Amino acid sequence: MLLQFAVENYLSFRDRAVLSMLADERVTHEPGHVLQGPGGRQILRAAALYGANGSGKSNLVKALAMVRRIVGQGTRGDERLPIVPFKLDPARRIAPAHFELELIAAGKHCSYGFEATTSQVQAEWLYEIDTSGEERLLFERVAGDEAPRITIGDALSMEPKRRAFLEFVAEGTRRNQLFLAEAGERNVTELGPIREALHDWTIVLPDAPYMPLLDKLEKDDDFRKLMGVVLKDAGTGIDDLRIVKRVLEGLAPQEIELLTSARAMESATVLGDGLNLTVNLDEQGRPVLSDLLGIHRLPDGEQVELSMRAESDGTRRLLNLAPILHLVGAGGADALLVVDELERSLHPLLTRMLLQLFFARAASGAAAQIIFTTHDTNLLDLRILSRDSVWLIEKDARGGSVMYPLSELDQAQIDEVERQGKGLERGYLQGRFGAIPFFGSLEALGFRKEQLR
Amino acid sequence: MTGKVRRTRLIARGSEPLTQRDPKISLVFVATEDTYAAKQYLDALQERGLVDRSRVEVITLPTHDGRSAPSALLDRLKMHQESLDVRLPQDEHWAVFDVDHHEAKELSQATQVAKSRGYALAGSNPSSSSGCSCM
Repeated sequence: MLLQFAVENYLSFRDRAVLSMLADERVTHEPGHVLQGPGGRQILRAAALYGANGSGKSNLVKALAMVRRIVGQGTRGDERLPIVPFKLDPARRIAPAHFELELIAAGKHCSYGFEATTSQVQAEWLYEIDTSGEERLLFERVAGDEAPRITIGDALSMEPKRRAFLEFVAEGTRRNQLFLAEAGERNVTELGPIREALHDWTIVLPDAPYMPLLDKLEKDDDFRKLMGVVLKDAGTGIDDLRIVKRVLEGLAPQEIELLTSARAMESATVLGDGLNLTVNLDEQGRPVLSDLLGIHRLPDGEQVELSMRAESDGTRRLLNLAPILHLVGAGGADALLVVDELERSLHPLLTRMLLQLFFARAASGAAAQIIFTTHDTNLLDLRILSRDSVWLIEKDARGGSVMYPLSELDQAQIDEVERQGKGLERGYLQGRFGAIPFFGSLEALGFRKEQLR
Repeated sequence: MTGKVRRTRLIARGSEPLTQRDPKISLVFVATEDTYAAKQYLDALQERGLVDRSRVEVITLPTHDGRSAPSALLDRLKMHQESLDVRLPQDEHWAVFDVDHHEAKELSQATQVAKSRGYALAGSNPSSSSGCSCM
């Protein structure tokens, strides 16, 4: 369960930006929209980011994805860390980026963070926090002149032999490697829960296929049933799905390795154009390409199979988005879903349906949360998103992204805007909440700004 | 040890602020003629982020033969106000005139009309200064 994420000096975030999933005590919530957190706090199930193109919405998603990746996969040898500092300020270009997470992992409130440049981790820390707010150090790190200096806290282990092992792992941690990543490679089980919490995040980028789709369709009946219902109810015309396989002949060993590598499974760029193609080795070690077909039943009973290339962008997007619903609900584990451009290629009513399905399924299951970016103003409806779930993001005069929740704006004025506008959409489009495009120069082209509102 | 690192810690929403942003959501509408300096000043201030780009809307009135009647600018502002489907009592409406280009009588009449409609007036006087003064 994510409580808070802070980022600074990364991509467009010059100054520290904080995304809080804590519910604002002043805001009333629908029952399914909050979770019970530590110390009786209410935690939000959703955060929606609104802002103009180029405001930094996707950069927040990138920051979460980058943290997940370097904690989970670490770096190899002298590989550079994928840190991109804020570049519009010379001092920031050489300063470290800063990331902090407050989360619940295996029932414990943890505070984890690090600062890093592309070449080294300059600071890293992990604390456990009890319900009274007391912090206990698990580990802490500073850069050091020659090598990182990592202090193991008593809360991680007090047993002498185990401490000696942890200190050995700490000594072997390279400058460009997070201690948390190194601990994963060295099987430091004490730090397993926080690594697993990050591993369980699902991040959906606008054009990326959901890579486990075919595997899950083949092996998981419950998943297949859910996908069938969503595709049918969304009116895609698809009545069923079929997986076709063929052996790929004539590939060089390195090509086979590339196509079947873990990185290929995570990357749309290797397999191309957002289609759900996967390559796996069969029992004989031959590469087998799996592809997905949509089955359409015609009124006379004839069945027509169409490649996903022939399906609409919206259907393909739904195929890659709907699986997140399977991660939440009865039997599901804690899940954090992060979706960039939730509404991409989808009808507004379909986006709304997906979000309502998320809340409905999440209510019966574990601590599922969703963070998404969107331009879909139809979702600015308090029955779907509470005021503390709506975040606005915009660039300041120096090009830095600034974000703030709707719940921090004047609530009496928002009440009035909501009453007159029968919702918040009109107020947002009028510019009252900020975070809308600025059409400063369009007048040179003969347009008037007020005509656009 | 990490004394140099400024940790954020968990922010209690509702009792601790998350943003420095001005919480007001009222809008400011500024009507000005399109040929004079006032519009250029406002555009430049918005481009540089010195005037809130989303909450301050500059409405320009096309001028003919290099001038327009102040009353036309006030009517344009009224038309725009009435076109808004959501209005707050805190919204501000401003009319900015270039005082060098209008007769004193015209400006005096415009002041009366603006007052009756609850608009604020500002005069720009580019020949003697580079700023605006409120009337």
